[in-house]
Parts: sequence; structure tokens; C-alpha cells
Amino acid sequence: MDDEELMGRLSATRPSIAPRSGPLHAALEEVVTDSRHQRRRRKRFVFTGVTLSVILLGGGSAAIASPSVLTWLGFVPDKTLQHFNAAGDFCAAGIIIHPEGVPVSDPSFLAARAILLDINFDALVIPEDIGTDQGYSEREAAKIESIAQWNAANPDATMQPGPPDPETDMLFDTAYRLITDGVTSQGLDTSSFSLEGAGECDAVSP
Amino acid sequence: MRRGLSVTRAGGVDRLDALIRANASDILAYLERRIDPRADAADVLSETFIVAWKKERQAPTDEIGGRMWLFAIARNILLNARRSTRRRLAATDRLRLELAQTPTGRGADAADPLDVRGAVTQLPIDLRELVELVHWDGFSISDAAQITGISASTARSRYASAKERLRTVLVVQPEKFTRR
Repeated sequence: MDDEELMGRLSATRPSIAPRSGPLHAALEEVVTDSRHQRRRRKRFVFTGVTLSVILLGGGSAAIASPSVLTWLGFVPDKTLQHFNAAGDFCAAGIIIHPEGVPVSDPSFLAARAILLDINFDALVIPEDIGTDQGYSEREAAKIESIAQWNAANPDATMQPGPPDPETDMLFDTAYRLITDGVTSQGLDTSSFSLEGAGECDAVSP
Repeated sequence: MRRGLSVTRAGGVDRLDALIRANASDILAYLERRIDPRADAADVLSETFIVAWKKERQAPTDEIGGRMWLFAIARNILLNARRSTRRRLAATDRLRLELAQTPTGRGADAADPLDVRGAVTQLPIDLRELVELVHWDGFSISDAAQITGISASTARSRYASAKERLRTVLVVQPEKFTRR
């Protein structure tokens, strides 16, 4: 088989793509335009089930209606944490760290991951500015409101808000700050990773 | 001074916007050819652009460098997708729908007497990726090197090795790769 024949055959293996029709171009334009707005939102909540919420820190995007939480739990979290909230509910959460548009061997991602793995959440002290930030209770209220809106729009698949857990949210933020500070101090890139955390609280039986 | 910086910043934003728009369809095609079901390419595409905006200050200022940079981001997101939660945005729904209306490319193509694609699939992943970038996406070998983060000489050597392997396999054992 000569070179020309081989080249021709290789090029013939190219899978087809969807026709570039007007509607496809319009849909593509929507994705392009939306991407500019998404970058401004560093942190968002995602609802995945009855009691569980997912937090994304530093990431590019988050779902408005993610698939089952089992999809997320299919991965072993890089780090887990647990505590009792103010109401005495047992809360557990996990975090995974994602590379953001870089290979898993990227030095910035590896440094961020190393810092995350080194965090002792049992001993982690929440800084005062995070601990006293009213934004956590406001976000909790926003989360409940979002679930209410979902329930109104999806009466056959309603969700119930889980017990509030601002402490886990604060711990995630504290960890994110530690990681970005550590990565920055090493002269590395803080845009090369994101943290995704999920957790839930269960009322403890008396 | 502040005014000058502001102008530069605005220029960077406009440049990245133009870069993304100029390459959006090609990056979508790159993802469509590698993701099954094809509709999922919409989510990875969206993620690619969002990450590009996040890394805006790192974007090369020249068109070719910027194009390779965007494809490298798309490639890394694709490679890392296995570890990620599926994050879906409302804005991708329409594109998902459009992509889902046509059958996935792999099964829809005209038959080749020899399943060359089967032979390509059996190449080591680093060789296979080069072959696909060159023959599916039309990149030069040095462009493909830039996207995959290897040197141009390594890429040339790997590409030559891939061709040799394919030629040997397809000539010696054609029946093994005959399309059933």
C-alpha cells in the first residue's frame, strides 16, 4: 500500500459531523454567548437529589439539574469531612478536585491537589471573615427558594431541602482559600483546578 | 496608565471572543468525532469555552496560537471528562437537541472495504491521537504536537511510526479488519 493510498484511507475514516444548519449555528451562538457570563460566577450550588447539594468552587460551570447524585458518588472523593451541625444532624461531605482545561500532570493542578490532600478538616479553623459572612444564610435561603421553584415546575419529581449545613459550605470555602493561597505562593496558576463538593445531613435518631 | 491597561484588557476580551467564535464550529466538530453520544459534545464544548474565559489572560495573541490553545483546552477537558460530574447548562440544551437529530458519525459513514478505523483504534493511544488529529481534523503534524503538548520532532517520529504500523497491519492482515 503506497503512502497516497494509506493517506486516503485514513482520511476516509473521519466520522461525520452534524450538518452546520441555521438552527445548529444559532444553538452554537447561544453556547458561545453564555460562556462569557458563566465565567463571572466562581461559586454555585447544584441540586442533585432530595437532600444533597453540590458546591462548585473555582470551576467553569455547574449544572442546573445534574443527573443523579449516584453519578457523583461513583467517584471516590479525594477528601471527606464530617461533623454535627447546629441542630445536631450528622453531616458528611466529600470533595473532588478537577483539572480545569489542563492535563492531570499539570504542576498547578498537582500542587492544588497536594494541598487539598494535606488538609486536616477536623482541625481546620474557619477564618473569621468566612465564619461571620451572612452570605451563607442568604445562600441557604436561595437554595430553598430554588428548590421551591423546581418543585412548582416539576410537581411529579419534587425535592425536599435537606437540613441546613452552612458549616460544610464554610469549610469548603476555607479549603479553597488555603489551596489558592498555597498555589499562588508557589507562583503557580490558580485557574487550573476546581473543587467540587457534595454533602448531606441526616437527622440523628434519638 | 490605568486607561492604557483598561484598553488592553478590553482588547483581550474582544480578541478572545473573536477567537472563540472563529473556532467554535471546528472545536465542536473535533468533539463530535470523539464523543458518543454526539449530543454530549455540547456540554464539553460549553466547558471548553468557560475554561478559556477563565484563563483569558493566558490566551495567545496570535490567531494560530490561540486556535491551538483552544483545542488543547478542549482536548484536556475531553481527557478529564471521565473524572468529572456531568455538568449541564441550560444554554447547551438547544445544541444538544440539534446534535442529537443526526446519527452518530461512526455508524453513518460509507463503508471502506478495509476497516482502517479498526486498525487505527488498535494503535497505542499517543499514536492514534496524532493520526486522528491529522486525518480527522486536518491539523499539520506540528499543530497536532502543540495541541497534545509534545515536541514537533516527537510528533513526526510518532506519526511515522503510526503509518508504518498501519501499513504493516493493513497489508499483512487485511481480513482481520474487514468490516463485518
